[in-house]
Amino acid sequence: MNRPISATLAAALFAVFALLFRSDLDAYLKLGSRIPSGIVQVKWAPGQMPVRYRITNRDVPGVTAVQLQAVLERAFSVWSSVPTASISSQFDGFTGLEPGESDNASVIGFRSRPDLDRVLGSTSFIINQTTGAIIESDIFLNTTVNWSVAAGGEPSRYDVESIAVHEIGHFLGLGHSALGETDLLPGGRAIRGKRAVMFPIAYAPGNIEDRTLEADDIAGISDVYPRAEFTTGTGAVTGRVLLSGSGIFGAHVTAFNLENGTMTGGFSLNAAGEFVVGGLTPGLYVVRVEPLDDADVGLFFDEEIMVPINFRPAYYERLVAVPAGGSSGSIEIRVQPK
Amino acid sequence: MTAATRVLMIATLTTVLSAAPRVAAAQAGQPVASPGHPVELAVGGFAFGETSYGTTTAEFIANNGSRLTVFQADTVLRPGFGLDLHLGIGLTRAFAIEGSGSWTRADFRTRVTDDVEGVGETVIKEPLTRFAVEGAALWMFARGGKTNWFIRGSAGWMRDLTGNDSLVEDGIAGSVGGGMKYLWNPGARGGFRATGFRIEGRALLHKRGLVPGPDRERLRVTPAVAGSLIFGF
Repeated sequence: MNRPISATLAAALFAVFALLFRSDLDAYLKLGSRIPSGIVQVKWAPGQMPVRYRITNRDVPGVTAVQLQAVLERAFSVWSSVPTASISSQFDGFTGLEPGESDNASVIGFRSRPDLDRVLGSTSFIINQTTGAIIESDIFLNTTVNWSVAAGGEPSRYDVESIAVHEIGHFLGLGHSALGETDLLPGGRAIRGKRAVMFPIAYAPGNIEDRTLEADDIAGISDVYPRAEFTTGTGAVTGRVLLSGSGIFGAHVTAFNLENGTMTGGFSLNAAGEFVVGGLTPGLYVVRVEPLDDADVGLFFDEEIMVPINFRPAYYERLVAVPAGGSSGSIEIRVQPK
Repeated sequence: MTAATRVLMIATLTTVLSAAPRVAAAQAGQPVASPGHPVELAVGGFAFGETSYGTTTAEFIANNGSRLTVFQADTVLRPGFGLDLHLGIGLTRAFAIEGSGSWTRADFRTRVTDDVEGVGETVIKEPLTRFAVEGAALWMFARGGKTNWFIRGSAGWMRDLTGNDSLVEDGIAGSVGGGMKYLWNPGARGGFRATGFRIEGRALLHKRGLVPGPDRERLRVTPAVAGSLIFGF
C-alpha cells in the first residue's frame, strides 16, 4: 500500500493483472500471473486452509513483535469473518526469517526499505506456475515510517492494523480496488476519499478506517473464496462499456445500491469492453462508469496493457435490477470522449 | 330427481327467498345492501400520484472521517395508472367485505446529482409492474336510495417486478379511503349487469417490495383516485 502521496508501485508486489479468462464472475480485480499458456488466478488452494503465517521476531519503534502478532490476528480475522467467504488462517510462530525471501514460509514483518520511501507495505508471492496456487506469500511493513498499534490510532503514525488488513487482502489474492478519489499534486496523489480497504493509496497517519472492510472488499474476497450462499444469494451487473461504438478495456464500473448505499466496483476486462460487477445484494442499482484516473494504472493492471482514460464519467440510462444468483442481463454503457 | 336438478332447485329457491325482501326494501327506498348477502363485482381503474423513495448518497470516506459525496440519487415512483377488480359480499345492510386484485404499471425515476467529477444531472428510469391481492372491509355510513357513501380499508400482499421481470420482490399492500357508490336501480337484483358505479379516494399503503431508496421497512403512502363499474348478482 502506498502513502497518501505516492506514484510508486510497491516494487515487491509479484504481479497485478486483470484476469481475462473468466466469464462468469469477475467481480473484482484479482491477482493473476502470466504464464506461457495464459493467466492463472493467484490464490490459496482449498487444501492450504488454514493459511499459516510466521512473524519476524523483531521489535520496531512503537511496535513489538508480540503486539504485531495481536494486530495481525485481528487483521486476518477481519477477512475470515466475512460470512460469504471461506478463509481461515493460523499463526505459526515467531521466526528469524525475513519477509520477501524465498524460504517456504509465509513471513510477515517489518523491514527497512528506504528505497521504497513512499511504500508503507507490500506483499510478494511464490506461486505454482501451472495452477496459480500460492506456495508462500510474504508481507513487509516499511520501517521508514512511524507505526502505531494504539486502539484509536495515533496522530502522525500509520495504523499497523489498517495497513495489515490491506496487505492481507493481497496475501489472499485480491488486487486493488478503484473506489477512491484523489487529487493529482506535484510529486504524487493526495487522497480525497475512498470506500474500499483495497484502494491502493492509504489514509493519512492516525486514520483507522481501513480496519473495517467495505462492501467492495467483501464482494472481492467472496469472489475469490466463495461460500455457497455467496453464489446463490448475490447477483451481478454485466455489460459492456463502449467509447465511440467500440469496447474499451480498463473502464472502472461502479454499482451503487439505492437501498443500502453500498458501492462495488469492477473493470471492463477485454477489448470488447465487457465487465461483470458481482457479489451484489439483490436490488436496484445505479451504474456509473469512469476512467481509471485516480491512481496510477500500473497499480491495477500489467503496465504493458493500454488503458484508455480519455473519456468522461457517465451513468447508465436505466436502473439496473440485480437478482439473487443471477445477473442483470447485459447492459451497454456509452461514454463520450473528453 | 338427478343431482343437477336438485342443485338447480336449491339455487332457485334461494334466489326467490332472498329476492323478496329486496323488493320490499326498494319499494321503501332503502339502501341496496340487504340481509340476503348480495354479491357485487366492481371493475375499474385508478390513478395515483408520486411516491418518494428518498435520497441515497454515494459517499467516500475522507482522511478526516468526513464524507465525500460521489453523487446523490433521489428516487420517486412516478404517477401512473392501475386496473383493479373487487368482488364483494354484503354481510349487513351497511357492512361488506371484499377481495381485491390490482395491476399497476409505472416508472421509477432517479435523479442523479452532485457528481464528484462534474457529470451533469442525469435522470434514470426503470419500469415497475405491481400486482396486489387484498382483503377489504367496506362500511356504508350514509345510505340513500341511489347514493351510498362509504369508507374502506384493505390489506394484503403485493409483488413488484422490474421492467424485464429480472427482479421480483414481495411486500405488503393496503389502502384506506372512502367514496361514493351510485346505483342506477337500487332494487334490481338477479342476473349479471352493471348496476352502478363507485368513485373513491384512497391512500395506497405499501411496504417492502422493490425499494430503490433507504429504509426498506418504511410504510409509504401514495394518494390515488379510483373509479369502477359495479356489476350486481
